[in-house]
Amino acid sequence: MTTMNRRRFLHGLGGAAIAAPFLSSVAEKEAKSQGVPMGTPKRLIVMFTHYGCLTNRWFPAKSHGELTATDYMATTLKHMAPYASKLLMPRGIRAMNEWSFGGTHGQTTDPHTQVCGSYFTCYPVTPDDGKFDAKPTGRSLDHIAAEQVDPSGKPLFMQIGGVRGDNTRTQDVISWDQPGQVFPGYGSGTAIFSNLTNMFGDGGMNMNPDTYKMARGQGAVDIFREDIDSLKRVPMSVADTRRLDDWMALLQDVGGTVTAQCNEMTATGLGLSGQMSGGGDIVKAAATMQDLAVLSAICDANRVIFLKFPGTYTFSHLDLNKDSHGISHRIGTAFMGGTCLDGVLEMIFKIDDFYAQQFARLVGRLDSFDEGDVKLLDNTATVWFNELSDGNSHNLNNMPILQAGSCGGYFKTGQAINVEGGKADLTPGHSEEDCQGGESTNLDGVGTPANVATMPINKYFCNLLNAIGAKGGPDGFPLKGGMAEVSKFGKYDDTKLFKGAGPSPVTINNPGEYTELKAV
Amino acid sequence: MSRSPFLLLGTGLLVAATGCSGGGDDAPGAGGGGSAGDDRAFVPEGLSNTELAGQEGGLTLVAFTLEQGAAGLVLHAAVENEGATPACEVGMLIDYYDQTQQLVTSAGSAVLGGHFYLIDDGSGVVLTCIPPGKVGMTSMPALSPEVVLSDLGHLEHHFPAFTVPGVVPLDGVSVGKLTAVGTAIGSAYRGTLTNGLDQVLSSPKVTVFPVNRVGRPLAVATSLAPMEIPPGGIWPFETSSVGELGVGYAAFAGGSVVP
Repeated sequence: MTTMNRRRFLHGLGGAAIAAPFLSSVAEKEAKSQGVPMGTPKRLIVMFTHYGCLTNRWFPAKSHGELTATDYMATTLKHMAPYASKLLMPRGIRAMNEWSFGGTHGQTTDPHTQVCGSYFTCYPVTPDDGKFDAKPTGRSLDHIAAEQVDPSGKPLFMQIGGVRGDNTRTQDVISWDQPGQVFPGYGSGTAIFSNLTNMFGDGGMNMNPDTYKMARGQGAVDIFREDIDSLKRVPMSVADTRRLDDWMALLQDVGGTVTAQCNEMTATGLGLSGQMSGGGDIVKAAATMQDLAVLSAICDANRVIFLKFPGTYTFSHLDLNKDSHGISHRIGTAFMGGTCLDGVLEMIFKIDDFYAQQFARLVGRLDSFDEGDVKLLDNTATVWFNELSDGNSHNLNNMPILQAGSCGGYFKTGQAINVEGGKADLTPGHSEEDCQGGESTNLDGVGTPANVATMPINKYFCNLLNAIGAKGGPDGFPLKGGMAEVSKFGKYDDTKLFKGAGPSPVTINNPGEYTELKAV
Repeated sequence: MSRSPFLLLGTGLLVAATGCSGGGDDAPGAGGGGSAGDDRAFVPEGLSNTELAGQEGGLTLVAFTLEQGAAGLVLHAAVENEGATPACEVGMLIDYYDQTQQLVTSAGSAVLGGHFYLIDDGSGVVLTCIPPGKVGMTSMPALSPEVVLSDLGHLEHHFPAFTVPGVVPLDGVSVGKLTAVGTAIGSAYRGTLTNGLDQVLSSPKVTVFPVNRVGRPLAVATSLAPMEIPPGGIWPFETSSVGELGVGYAAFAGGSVVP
């Protein structure tokens, strides 16, 4: 057995082994130096879709309080009904940097470029007039989170349907590993699969001796018996002896659950093989990427996993012959305003429904694997973020956000929580009021009034970071090696400050998490 | 794609052009973009540049030059508004595909309309638009050096834009006649921009495209200043340099009109 194999294997043990304080023959030194949190891994898994939705069909009627399967059945989210008890719908939230002609709620760069650039960074984009190539001046959530909690230090970012965007076109780029630096991630599953399968064997699908023993049921402690026995012969303090015993107990628990599933059998069960299929078939590509996300979580290869559906995509398998961007504008093209397509609201609904099915599939997969006494899903915050609220209004208040999983008991579930005062009758928006008389004219009127549902998304990002074990510095901003809770994220939490590419200094007016989302 | 004949109208100069074709199988072969006196509207000829399926209507690509620049491939394009209403805050997005139909890269830029319009809703917001029947122009940032012209198979484009009810023309910003002056690396344009509006024009910018006989943009030169031009004020400017002047030019005024 080579050291590299064992290191890879130990990454798969899910935090317990790699955090072990003693075994210099294995990988814990490396892991400790990376500051990866101990214990059962908590993951942030994100599904991102473009162009918003028909908000009034998407949101359940109740914006605050318990949501049951029945509540979801009446909405676009009916596919999520089986998981109602594990869902959390944060309501009343505004994402950052909304476009308008006059810059009322952010920059005037472009309705999509500035939103995608600022969505997970909460930083403005520059240059202010860089309509299609402006870039944010900060890093995005996936990288900020991954550098602290991910075994690899980087997020697994998967672009379903292929890598989109680069330095000359940033209109649908959401992942930024450095300010102004596009992070392309993966556009196909092959490379991801290769990385993952290395975790349970050399050269792809061939298992190494350790993983073979695990698959056959031999416990992790038995496998490392020789190492452990050697270690126990080394003189050490009582405290260290106690720590070693504790670590062995933890290894027994976690190694028997997480790691035993990080194997060829699981990959096969998920329908994954070395030959990634999908190509131009969005359904197959999405399924493959989702399953790779699940496998990556099982193997603890990544704790920050983002999946993104493409922008400007023609969902021909839904019998649509216009692209998703044009359909969201109601008229079928990238123009805004004009004569609506016949039946365009049903076209939008088809796309919304497809995305809801995809999220349900992902959640279902995560909920099908045990992890200790709970399901894998329960140790994640798996969140569906929409780029926009309504796709024609391009508004960012009243954002459709749906989370599955409590992230190890950190979040409440089974309910909607309106973080803007707790009202249960928050408007679902006015998406279906466009195209009255066949024309799309009142762009602002089809969203949600701008003074409603405006609580900053920055605070929810603080929740997510704290839930997965990230830390903040003394100032509350995320900081690798920090000791405090994360209480601030981004440059601004007031969307108006983004105007003109944000000349004001860093200003977080409303720091802290949304405590009302927390279980304890 | 065929066009016949069209007028190229920037804020500064009227250029008459004749019809032409591009992208067809009978095109006489590709050439460099620098032949100012030719009649080619699409260069390189034979490189198909079609509108993204389902996006047709309103705005039409009427000429483009795609050529090797110092930092990578650069594209200059002319876009006509064939619709009945102003097309506002227009952009152009292009996907570049190789000869195996694989997407190589994408790029986008704002299309300059050169005409100011006021949203008549009391907000005082001013937009730049391409009036019906007029032509706007754009110049894309250089592509990655790894993108090679000879590897390209075809291009697809579309035009995000706005049809805004209740916009009214806001005439008054004009670019005077330009004079070409020699520089160390080519030629630049000198001229004046006059703010004939009742409002302040801030961050004024002039963009000049030298064109060939059919109005195909050959290059781009710009001048901008971090200043404010009061109503009635005149800003004398000199642009950056271009390698060739073509047979004419199209000049577009820009800037922010403060409500």
